[in-house]
Amino acid sequence: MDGVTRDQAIECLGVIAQLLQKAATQVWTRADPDVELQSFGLGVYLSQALARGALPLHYSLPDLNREGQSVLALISAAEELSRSLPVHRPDLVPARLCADLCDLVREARDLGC
Amino acid sequence: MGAEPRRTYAAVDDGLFDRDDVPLTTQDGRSVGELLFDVDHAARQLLIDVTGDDSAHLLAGWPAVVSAAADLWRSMPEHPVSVRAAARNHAIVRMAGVAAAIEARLGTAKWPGATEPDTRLVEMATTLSRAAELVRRYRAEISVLRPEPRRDLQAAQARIMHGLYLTAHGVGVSLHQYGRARFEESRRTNRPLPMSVRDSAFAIPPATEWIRRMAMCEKLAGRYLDGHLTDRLAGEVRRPVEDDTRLAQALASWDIQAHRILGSDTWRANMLLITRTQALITGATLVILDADRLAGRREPDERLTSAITEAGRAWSHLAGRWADLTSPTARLDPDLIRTAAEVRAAYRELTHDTTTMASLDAISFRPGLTRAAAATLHAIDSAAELAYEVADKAHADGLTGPARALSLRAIKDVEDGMATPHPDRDYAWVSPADIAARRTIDIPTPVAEVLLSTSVSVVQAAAAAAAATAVATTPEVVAGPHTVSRVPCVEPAWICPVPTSFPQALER
Repeated sequence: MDGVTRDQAIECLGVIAQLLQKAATQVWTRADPDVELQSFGLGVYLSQALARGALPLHYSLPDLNREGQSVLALISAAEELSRSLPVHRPDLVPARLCADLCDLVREARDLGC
Repeated sequence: MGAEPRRTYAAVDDGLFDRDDVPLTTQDGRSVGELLFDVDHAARQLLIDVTGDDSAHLLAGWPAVVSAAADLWRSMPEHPVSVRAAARNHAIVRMAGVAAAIEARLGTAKWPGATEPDTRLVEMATTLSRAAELVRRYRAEISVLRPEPRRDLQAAQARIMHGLYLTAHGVGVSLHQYGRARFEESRRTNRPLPMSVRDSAFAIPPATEWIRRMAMCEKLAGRYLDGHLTDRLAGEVRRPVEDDTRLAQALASWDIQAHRILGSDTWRANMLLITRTQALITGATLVILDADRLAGRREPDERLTSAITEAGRAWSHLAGRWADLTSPTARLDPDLIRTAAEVRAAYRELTHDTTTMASLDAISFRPGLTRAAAATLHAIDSAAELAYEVADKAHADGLTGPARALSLRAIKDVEDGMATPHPDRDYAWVSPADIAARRTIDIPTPVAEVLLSTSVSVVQAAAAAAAATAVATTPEVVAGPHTVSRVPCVEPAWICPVPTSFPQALER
């Protein structure tokens, strides 16, 4: 059950954090003065912060080449990755993260991002 | 709910040897881990696709899911003398109790009445039952005295709880969407609705009690997953959320926490979140004021609108500047994350229609809008002081950022005439070696110069907006017969909160 090692989980969280970082940046570049996008961007960034907070202190986020991908694609990729996380390890995976990612996918889809 | 009997390979023996036939066998080949993974996956998909129309069916399907989950949990062997195991069991036992109460109440409540359970939840319950069947079959072979199988069981229990957590959240989202739809309907038809003063603005009867109960289930699962076993939850007194003050409370907590962080050593990592949240506050304030004006409760005030618009633009520009100086690896303050999330959620309750912005007309009828307008104007006023503290940080020593981003920013700032050019026109503000090596470097002079000027703009714009709020008219309010909050209700009768003594029967 959940044969994911701690290192694999951290690696996965690192990719999730980076994907969300890219998504938040992409949303914010066209957010002003759109409150709807400002709010969405903040939501993505807060989830990124949640994922980042679960990583070791000096962990370097991996380089990702996701040029041209939509915000929805980036968040969906993060959500798909989160399925392999060991949810039984509260020290590694914040319980709220997976639910937040699903909420963000729904939101990105409805906003047409 | 039991697993449906499935055909075995022997039952389709002929078909197995027919080259043109693909027999539907049948034996579910999934392991317990795979079954639980499928439940988790189904719960996520549910949460992604959930709508208010699903609420009645989801509610009807929820008890069976919990019952199957509890059955699976019970089927697992446990350490004979483990105190922790007993504490872990407490969560599922309590949730099963809540679900059983929901099931009993569903039989008597007017809403949702007799309705088919959601097929996705039925499938989840079936999958959980199948897993329980498997565990019971192989239970004797699981040695709970050895650490590996014990950890495996704990992981399985966490996976069960995670599925329940996501599902409970999904049902809650659906119920809120249902409440929102009911509210809009009542507005269209001009039929007053009694509203709860304890819960979310859209926890509208008959969904109110279900929202509370589902929130309890979500909380039980969430606390389990966060490692806080629920024994501590047993005697907890839940302070009711007085929704009319949600935004005011969120903004007050935000203000305190932002000041606290700016006064601490951890401010660098949090500057982007602080400035972005301030930008959201100003943007959302404009929406709320516009809606309040549309409702006829506020006079048009061009000076206030343009001052807040300018402040929002200034905060956004400054946020863009701090984004260059904030590493994606920055670790944010957990309390600041929490308070920012609450500010976002409180605004969204007023300004959003499920996941997207509501029309101004719809927002103008939202419950608590007038109080929210007062709270958000107060936040604009407080932002002037916060802006000074934020601006001070632009003077701090040792500001750094990624070489490539800062190089691009420096070149653009000079090209745009925002920063002083170097006498040597071909001067490289950032060493190519630093860019190639992706180093973190000290902030180049043009970027520092624009950071300072942008910070000054924020101070000026925030002060102008605060001054404009001081003269903004606060609507005269008259206490009505149904007033229960400190601030009297001045909204139309159909969105006035019910008094605390309102008969419960009418709430349901």
